[in-house]
Amino acid sequence: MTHFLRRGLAAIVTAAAALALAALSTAPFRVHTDPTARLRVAFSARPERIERCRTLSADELANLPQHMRQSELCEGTTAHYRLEVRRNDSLLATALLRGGGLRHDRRLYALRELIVPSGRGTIDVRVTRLDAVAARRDDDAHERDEGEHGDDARRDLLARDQDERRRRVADEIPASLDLREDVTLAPREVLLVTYDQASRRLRTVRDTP
Amino acid sequence: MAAPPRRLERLALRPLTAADAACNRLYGSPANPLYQSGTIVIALLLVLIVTGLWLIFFYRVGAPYASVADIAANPWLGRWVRGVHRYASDAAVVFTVIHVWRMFAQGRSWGPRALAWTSGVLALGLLLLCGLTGYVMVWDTFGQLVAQEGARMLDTLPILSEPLGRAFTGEQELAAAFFFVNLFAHIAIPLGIALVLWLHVARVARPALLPPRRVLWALVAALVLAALVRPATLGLEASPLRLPESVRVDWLYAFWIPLVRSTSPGVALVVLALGVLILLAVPLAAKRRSAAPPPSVVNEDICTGCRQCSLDCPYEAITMIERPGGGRSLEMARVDPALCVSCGICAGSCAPMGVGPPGRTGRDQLAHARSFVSDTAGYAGRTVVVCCDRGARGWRAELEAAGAAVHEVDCAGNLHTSVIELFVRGGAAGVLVISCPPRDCWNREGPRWLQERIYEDREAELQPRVDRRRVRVATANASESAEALAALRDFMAATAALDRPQSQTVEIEMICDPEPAEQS
Repeated sequence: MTHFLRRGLAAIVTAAAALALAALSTAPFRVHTDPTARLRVAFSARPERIERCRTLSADELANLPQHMRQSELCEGTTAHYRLEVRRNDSLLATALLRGGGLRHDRRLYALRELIVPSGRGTIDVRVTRLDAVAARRDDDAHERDEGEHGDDARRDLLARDQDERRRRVADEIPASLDLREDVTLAPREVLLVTYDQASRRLRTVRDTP
Repeated sequence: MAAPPRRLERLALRPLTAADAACNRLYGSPANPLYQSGTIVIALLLVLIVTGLWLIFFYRVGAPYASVADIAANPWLGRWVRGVHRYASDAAVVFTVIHVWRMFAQGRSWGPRALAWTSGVLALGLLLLCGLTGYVMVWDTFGQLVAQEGARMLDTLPILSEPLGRAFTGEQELAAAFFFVNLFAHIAIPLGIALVLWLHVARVARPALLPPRRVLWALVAALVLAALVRPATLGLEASPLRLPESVRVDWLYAFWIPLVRSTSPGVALVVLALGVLILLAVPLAAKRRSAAPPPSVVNEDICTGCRQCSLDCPYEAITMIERPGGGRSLEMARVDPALCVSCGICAGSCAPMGVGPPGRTGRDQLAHARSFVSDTAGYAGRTVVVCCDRGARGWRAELEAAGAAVHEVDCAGNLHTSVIELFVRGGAAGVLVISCPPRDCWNREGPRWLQERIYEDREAELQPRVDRRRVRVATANASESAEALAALRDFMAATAALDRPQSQTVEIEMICDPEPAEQS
């Protein structure tokens, strides 16, 4: 083989190798070939707290550093919920939802992706609290009384705690959520069922072409 | 002799030497890209940095897909720069794998080279991670697939209170912060790669960092050609609420995705983790505890403190220290056994033959050569072929059939020139040394030092009294029997034209023999 021919051949082989590399870099991969659709249930919410609260006395508060003074001390855990997903009244999935974290005191989340036939169907997603949550406060009256008759600092503290509790309750997931909807799904379409914090309801989200 | 390769290494070596031989024929051994795999990866990383810096000016974390689409729509510069960037990243994976393959097949991972092996595995992991972040940056259907499947795999680890996969469900639009973090990772990981590469070559003397210029430019030209002929694709924009029927996938980076999809994310994670562990454990397996060749030793009585072994050592395992109590020189060599891989290069570079692995010093080589001369029937007038046992394993029988007397050595780079002198002055028609191609030396720089000792008066040089017409150096790997035979025939033809060789009584000067103790 002459030197010139060898160089030409080397150039051709190099070019072919580069093009083969490019082909390998953009090879088609059939990801979702079946004409099914997906029902995706994905949301995150704060679970309700099941707790026992006790109002701290003025002496107990005085013993705490200022930045740690809360009018009441609450101990407990968060509620459990059951998620049920049905299509045309047949159960597709069920799951127990708990708060995240080791102490289960963080937000709970649901993440289920279910293969459903494309076409028309009735989707039913339910989230139901399993635990009975105790009455919010045993001593609301006492708190009101404290608020009316306590000193200014005490009143401020109570007001702040009440605000915080209200915010927390508003953030918590309702005891029961239910979404029932007739939907027509195209092949490879994803119907997302998620929780809307503002309206405190489940809602569906679809791709808008 | 150094420990022979194990079965798995032999299996890996066979296709490698065959591919090497094919590329040697095509490109010539100095430009063989398979020999330059490590330096080519570094060159490709430089290409990636240059093209990446250009691309980053046009990338917007607030509109990732749209900005990449704008780049891809620019036919003059954007499209092919992006193509070069992408294909350079692919080529980097290919050449890294070739490099890993070579080091494994040649058993170059144990002992002090374990650091290079481990850091290399780490660099490969970082390279893959960097590439994957690059694909996520684009945020087309492939980028989304990478992110979703990667998140599914990581979600099997019980370390996060909420699954990462929730980020890609469509509950909320992906925040620009996600793409910013991803971009940050894409830029920061190469810095990690640079650090790891520094470790990779930390225990190597004179590391080659870039390939020969013609290989470098051919590489760049090939990448540009690929980018022009087959521009890098851009899939449909990612949408969490639409499942793509087909995605254009880069298999070099997404090889794990079918595993995740066909088994489960947990199984895929375990398989990948096992793969990494196996790779990391290679140095332990290759250590060959029972057969580990002993490190070089210095005969302090012979060492003249010339520093040549310290200069030639490919692993910086030899340092010069002050000779305790004075003596024939101010300094003497000392081998650090923790750094020595027993390559024996020092044996060839020590003129007085005072250093080398036990049994392979210049003096040991001479002793073997003397027995070879006396044991070889009809030695006088025959051509002696000195070759590495790694190469000769492939074609010793053919060389002998062609009439040569074959003398195997552990590595041609270890060969002391006194052995050549002994053969020539002992009456051989000629001495043909067949070494591995220079970039393929298992001991890194052996053929280079050998050439310089024979032809360029490098210390431990071949003495001027040796007829250079009767000495030749050729290169061939284990699969190049035809080349080895051709070199032998050519050399035999050249020596046949010379006068009949004269057998001389050979007394190789032991120039630095220890002086006898003075009689008091």
